[in-house]
Amino acid sequence: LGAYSYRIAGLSVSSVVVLPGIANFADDNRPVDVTIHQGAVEGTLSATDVSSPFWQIDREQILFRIPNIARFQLRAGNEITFEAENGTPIEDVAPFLAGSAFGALLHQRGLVVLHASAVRVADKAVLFCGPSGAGKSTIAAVLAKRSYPLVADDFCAIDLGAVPMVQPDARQLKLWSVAIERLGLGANCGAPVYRRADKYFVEPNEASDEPLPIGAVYVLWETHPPPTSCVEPLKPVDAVALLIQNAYRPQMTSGMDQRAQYFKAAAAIANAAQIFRLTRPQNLADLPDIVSRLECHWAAIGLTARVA
Amino acid sequence: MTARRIGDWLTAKVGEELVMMSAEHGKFLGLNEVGTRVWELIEAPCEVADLCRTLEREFEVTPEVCRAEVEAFLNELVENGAAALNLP
Repeated sequence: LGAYSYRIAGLSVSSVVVLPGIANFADDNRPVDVTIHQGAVEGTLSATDVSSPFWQIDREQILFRIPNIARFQLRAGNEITFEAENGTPIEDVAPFLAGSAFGALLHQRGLVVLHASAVRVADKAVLFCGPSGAGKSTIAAVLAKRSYPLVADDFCAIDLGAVPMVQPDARQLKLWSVAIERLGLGANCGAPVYRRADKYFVEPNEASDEPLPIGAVYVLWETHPPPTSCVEPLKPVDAVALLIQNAYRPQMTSGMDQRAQYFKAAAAIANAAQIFRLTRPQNLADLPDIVSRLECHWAAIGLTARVA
Repeated sequence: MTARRIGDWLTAKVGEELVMMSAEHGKFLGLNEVGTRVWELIEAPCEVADLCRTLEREFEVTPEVCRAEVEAFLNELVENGAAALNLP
């Protein structure tokens, strides 16, 4: 077994390598759900359902390759094996283990992943999704500082089941130094993010570690030039389209069967929770305004505004 | 004139709407209650005249308005690659 323990997407993970930006999480009472180890990865599969130059998928396993970094093999939703290519050091492979490889593994387990950050409001998860740079992590960081525990940052795994449940993820926030300074989170600041100039892992002020139903989803939208922020409900068709657009999809999900899976998932999420568009100016000065606007909105839609 | 569904559309009921996605066209459509009923009725090729008679029975609408709105809606489905119309 690996030497490092993590909680990723609600799963207990044992890894032979350090996964950057994920808090160590050892729970002796919980069996290991996923192991990550180093080993030989064979190049081909026998009966391949979906194939592209870098992805091979069949019922039992997924193989993929990040050129010049590593090859990955995922089995039965509980085992990730990697083999570095061209002598790439392990610490350069690690970010892909926590990202692409884990995303694909969750697909094997039938979960979907959104590019979203989530905080707990009352007993529900409130999600913020949008492209990189839209402010997901910054808003989550501000809310965590205001005692809404962080549930997930950027990588939001959802177990569909009877009611879609957001799985807690011990990933740290990834924030730009200007945001860290503005939010006064310097004391929580950790290592720099892999090959990202000026971006750092930041420990959230509070974190939640239980699966939660979805209270609301906000799709972040930037205004040019920004007058003020506003929140508006989305029509079902726009909600579904935007949720799919914000799905965390490794290349393999262009296959038909994954698109159908994500369509079903987006419809299930849109039926379980209200989806809103949150339009805001792209700067840090509006953050106090965003927080008060959100708290008013949560009261209006019946989410208790403040956790005791 | 008959109308029928075409394409690879996936559908899901979300609230009151039927949301449709076509991977082939990269498009999403949202149908209201009446649109959803039309979509059901053209699962198998259906005479537009029969379609209108059914809708007139089920919804409060005059034959003239019904015919005009059904034709407009079917044309929209055709433009989006979701239906085809066959002249006799």
